[in-house]
Amino acid sequence: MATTELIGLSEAKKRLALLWFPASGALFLLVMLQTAFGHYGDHWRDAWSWLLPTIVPSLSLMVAVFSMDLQGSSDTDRQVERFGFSLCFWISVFYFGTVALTILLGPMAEQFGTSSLDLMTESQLWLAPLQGIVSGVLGWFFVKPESAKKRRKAAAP
Amino acid sequence: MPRLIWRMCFAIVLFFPFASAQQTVKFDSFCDYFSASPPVDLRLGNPEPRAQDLLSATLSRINGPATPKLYAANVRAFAAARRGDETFLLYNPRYFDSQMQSGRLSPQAVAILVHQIWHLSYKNGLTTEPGVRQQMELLADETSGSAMRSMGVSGIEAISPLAGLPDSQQSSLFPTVQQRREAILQGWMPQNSASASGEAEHHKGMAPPPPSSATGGGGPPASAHPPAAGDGHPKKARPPDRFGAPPDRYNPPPPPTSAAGGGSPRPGAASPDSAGSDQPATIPQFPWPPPEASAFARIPTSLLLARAPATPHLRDAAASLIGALSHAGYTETSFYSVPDGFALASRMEQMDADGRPLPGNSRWALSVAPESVFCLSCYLKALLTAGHPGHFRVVVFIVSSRAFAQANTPVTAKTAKDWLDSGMNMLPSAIGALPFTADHACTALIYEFELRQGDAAAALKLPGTLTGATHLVRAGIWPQLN
Repeated sequence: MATTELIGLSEAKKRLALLWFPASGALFLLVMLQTAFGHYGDHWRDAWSWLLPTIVPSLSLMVAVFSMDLQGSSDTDRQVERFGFSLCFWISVFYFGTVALTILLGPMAEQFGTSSLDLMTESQLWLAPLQGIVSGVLGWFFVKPESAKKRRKAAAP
Repeated sequence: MPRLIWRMCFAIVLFFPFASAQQTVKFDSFCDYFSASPPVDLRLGNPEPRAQDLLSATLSRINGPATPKLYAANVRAFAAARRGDETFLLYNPRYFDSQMQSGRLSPQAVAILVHQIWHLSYKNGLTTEPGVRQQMELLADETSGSAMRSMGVSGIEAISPLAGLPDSQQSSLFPTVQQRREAILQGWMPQNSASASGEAEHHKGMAPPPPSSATGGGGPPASAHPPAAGDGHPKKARPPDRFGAPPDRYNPPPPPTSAAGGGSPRPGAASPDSAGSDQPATIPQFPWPPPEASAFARIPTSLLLARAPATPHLRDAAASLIGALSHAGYTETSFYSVPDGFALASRMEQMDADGRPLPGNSRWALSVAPESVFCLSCYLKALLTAGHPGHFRVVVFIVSSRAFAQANTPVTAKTAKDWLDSGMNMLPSAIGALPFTADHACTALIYEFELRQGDAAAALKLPGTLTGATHLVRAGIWPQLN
C-alpha cells in the first residue's frame, strides 16, 4: 500500500495564512487607496460591499482556527496529506488571482463599455462558485484534520 | 307720474348689469381684419358662455407675449387689439352666433379668427410701425389661407372674407386687398418651407424680400396648431402669375389626413375645429424659461447679423448661427420655438476638460473614450483615481426679444441629448419671417455634463468650470461668428 506524503498541520496552516492574510491585506489596501483617491466616486460602498464578502468569511474561519490553536484546544502535532494542502493552497492562489484581476482590470473595463463596478458586479457570476469551492476546501482542511490522522494510522505497519 | 318714475327705476335696475358690463375703451393698436379703424365708440362686454368656452380654449393655447383677454364688442367679426402689454380678442356676438354651424365656426369665421390669433401671438403682431405692420398683416393672411386649405376650403372661399372690400383700400398699416388676397392664396397653396440657412443665403446681401415672398407661412409658435396637410405635399412649381390667375383654378384640396402630416407643419394654421379642439403642437417648444445652464454667453447682435440685410429677420440670425455651427463641426442642430423667437440646440458632444471638442468620432461618442496608448503610469493613475471623467456639452442658442431668467429646473443628460431629436430640422418660416428687432438678443446657454467613474449617467455641472464665452471660443463657434 502506497504511503501518503504528509505535512504538519500547523505548518500547513501557517503557509495558508501566509498566503491569505498578505493577499487579503493587499487587496484591502488597494481598494482602500482607490476609495481614498476617489476611484469609485460616490459608489465606494458598492466596492466594499463586493470585496468584504469575498475574503472575510475565509479569513474569519482562519482566525477562529488560529485562536483555537493559541488556546491549545487543537492538536498541533497532527499531520495532513500534502495533496490536500497543495490543493487548498493553489485553489486559494487561483481565487486571489481572480479577485485581484477583477480589480486590476477595472481601468480597462471602459474599453469594453463597462466600468469597474460593473465588472465587480458581473464577477460575482464566477467568483461565487469559486468562493464556494475555496471555502469547502479550507473548511475540509482546517476543520476536519482527523481524517488525515486516521489515514496515518491506517498506513502504519 | 309716480308710476312712470317707478317704471324708469325698474328699467334702470333691469339693465344695470348689462350697462355696467359695457365699457368704452381705446387701444394702442387694433386689427379688425377688414383693414378698418376701430369704432369710435368701441364698447366691450363680458363674453357669452358659449363663445367664451370656444374662444378661451383657443386663446389658452396661444404662446404669445400675454394671454389675450376675450371680450364681446361692437366689432364687425373678430378683432385683435393691444394696449400696453395687454392683448385682447374681441368678437361680435351676433356675428359669432351667425357663424356657428353644428357647434363649430364656419370656415370664413375661422379664417378671420386665425388672422387675429396670429396677431396676438407675437409681440410685434400688432405693431404700429407701418412697414412692419403691413408685413404682419400679410403673414396673418397667409396663415389664414393655410388654415383654409387644411380645412378643405377652396381658394375662392378662402379669400371670401375680403369680398366687398374696395381694391384701392390701403393705409400705412394695411396692405391692399389685392396683396391680401395674394397672401391668403399663397398660404393656401401647398408649398415646402425653405431651410433657414438656404433662405438666408438666398437673401444674403439683398434687400429685404417683399412680404409675399418672405412669408413662408406665418403663424404663432403656439401649441394649438394642427398639421397643415398642404405642407406634406411636394413643392409645386408655381406659375409666374400664380396670384393673377383666376381664382377658380384653386380647387379644394383633398381633406387632410393624419398620415399626411409628414411635412413641415404650418404653425399658424388652425384646423376646422381649432377653436375648441385639442390639437398637438406642431412646432416643438423649448422649455421656457430655459433650464438653468452651466454657463451662458450673450452673442453680440453685431456679430450675429454681420452679414444680414439691412432689415434683418430671425431667419438671418438662424442662418448666421447655422453657418457658424456648421463650420465648427456641428452639422446636426434642432430648432424650437420660444416666445418671440426660436431656440437652436446642438448635438451633445464630448470635450476635454478645457472645453475643446475631442478629435474624431470620440467627439460625438456618448461614452468616455479609453486611453488610446497604454502606459504604466496612466494605468496606475486610472487604477487608483477616478480616471479621466467624460465631459459633455450641449449648446442652445436662444434668439428672442423676451428677457428671461433661467429656471431652476434640473436637466438630465438624456433630456439634453434628446433636444436634438425632438426639435425641427429647420427654422419654420413662420418664425424665420419675423423681423429681428432691436429688442431681440441671442444668448448661448451651455449645458455641461460630467460622467465620472461609476456614475450611471452624466451629471449637469452647476456652475460649469468654464465661462460661456470660453466654451464658444474653444468649440470654434465664436471665431466663425466673428
